[in-house]
Amino acid sequence: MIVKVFDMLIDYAPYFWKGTKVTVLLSLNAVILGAALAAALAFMKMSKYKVVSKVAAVYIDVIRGTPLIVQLWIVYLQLSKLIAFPDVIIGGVDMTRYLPCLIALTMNSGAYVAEIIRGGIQSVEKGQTEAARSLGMNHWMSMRLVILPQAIRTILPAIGNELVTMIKETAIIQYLGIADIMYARNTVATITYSILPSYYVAAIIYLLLNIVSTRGIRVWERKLQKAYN
Amino acid sequence: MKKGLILLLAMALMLSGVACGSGDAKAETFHVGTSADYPPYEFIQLDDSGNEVLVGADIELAKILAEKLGKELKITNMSFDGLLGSLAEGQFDCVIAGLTNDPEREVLFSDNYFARNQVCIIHSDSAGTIETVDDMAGLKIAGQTGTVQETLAKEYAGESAIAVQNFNDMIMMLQGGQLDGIVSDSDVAEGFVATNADLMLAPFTIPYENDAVAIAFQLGNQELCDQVNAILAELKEDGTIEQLMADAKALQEELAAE
Repeated sequence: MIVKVFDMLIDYAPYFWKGTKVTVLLSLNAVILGAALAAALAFMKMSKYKVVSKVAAVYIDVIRGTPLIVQLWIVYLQLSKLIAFPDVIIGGVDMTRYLPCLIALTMNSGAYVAEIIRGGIQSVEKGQTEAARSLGMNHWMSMRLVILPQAIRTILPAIGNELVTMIKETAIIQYLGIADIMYARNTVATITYSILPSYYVAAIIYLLLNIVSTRGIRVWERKLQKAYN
Repeated sequence: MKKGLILLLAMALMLSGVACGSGDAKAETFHVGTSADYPPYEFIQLDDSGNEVLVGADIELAKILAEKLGKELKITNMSFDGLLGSLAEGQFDCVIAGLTNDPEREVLFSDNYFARNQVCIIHSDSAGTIETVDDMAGLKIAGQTGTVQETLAKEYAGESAIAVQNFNDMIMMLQGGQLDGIVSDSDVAEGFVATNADLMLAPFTIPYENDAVAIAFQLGNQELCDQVNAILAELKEDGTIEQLMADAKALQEELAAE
């Protein structure tokens, strides 16, 4: 079995490599765009206007309360009716399916990261805001100059962890026929008729990806701490 | 930080830019949905540089149809159980995926183009124990999710029937002893039995009234359906259809022998 797994990994390396690139690119894009969405959601949720904070709260509840695969199909089928996605192929990836996928993943990631950001901001002692305000800073100034620089230290590593989660969660996009790692696995399984080894190959690739990104995040985390001390 | 922001903005711009562009080319494309894990109907072959190429009888048929319709062919490959939903929402012009002409499906079917039987793939260890259709009762018989074979598995095996998303996974489960049998099209089953020494066909065909393959269109798309039917009649008449299936089976055996 081990020989079979490594044979497959080597024989179909270029193909798995392509799938890996799609997985990484999609996960990175989704987490970066998701972080922007999340920042907006987090501030909305902390807003003093009830309506605004309610909207964000409902959004986060809906996204966190439904499976990603359900969101993916709804976004793909519903959004494609409202927006004409460009019918072009960039780098071998069909945009009419890649973009809905990216949007669904971004929407999903945004909801989770929003809570991370909110938690990060609220974890900064209340006294800090009070001190800043008593020095005459207004709300945004104290947020920008005092709270956020401290909150960012807990937020950034957590966003890094979201990337690790996202790399694994993207495994469902093969249902839309996006050529990621799992899709490559299925194709190779169909060609070689050896199915269990193909799952081992996929497992190895995901594991390597996540070991590398976890390590990277840890180094980054240490740097953030150092800069502060 | 600034770089990140610029990158982000650029990406957002790119997204919004492309989102409103194009779309006019649609009328000229013949957009086909399929699920390429179903040899000899549709499957994937890798060329020397590792690019995937869709092959199989349905794919060749799609190429001929597009050419005769004077349109550019676009094929979207996705999981089988997503195909008909996507068709209903207008993602494709049609689905060509070894699809059984089942009247329960809410689509517009073309005329049948391949005839076939429904059979049961079993492990060679259980040779002699599954001899008739009735022997399937109470056994772990699987069918691919969303297919007619899933319905047949339920009908004949009862409560113990199982639906599996992916055809390859079913084969693995059968080989691993997690399944007693798989309901399958005869064309597909023959390929798997020929390439796996531990698999065989149960010595019966499963009775099913709509035993033929057709192309699915969105309900109401009679115009395209009529055009395709006219071409299909031609292709059946001159023997092209039979040839497509024979070629696909030959290619499948060739690939398996490598």
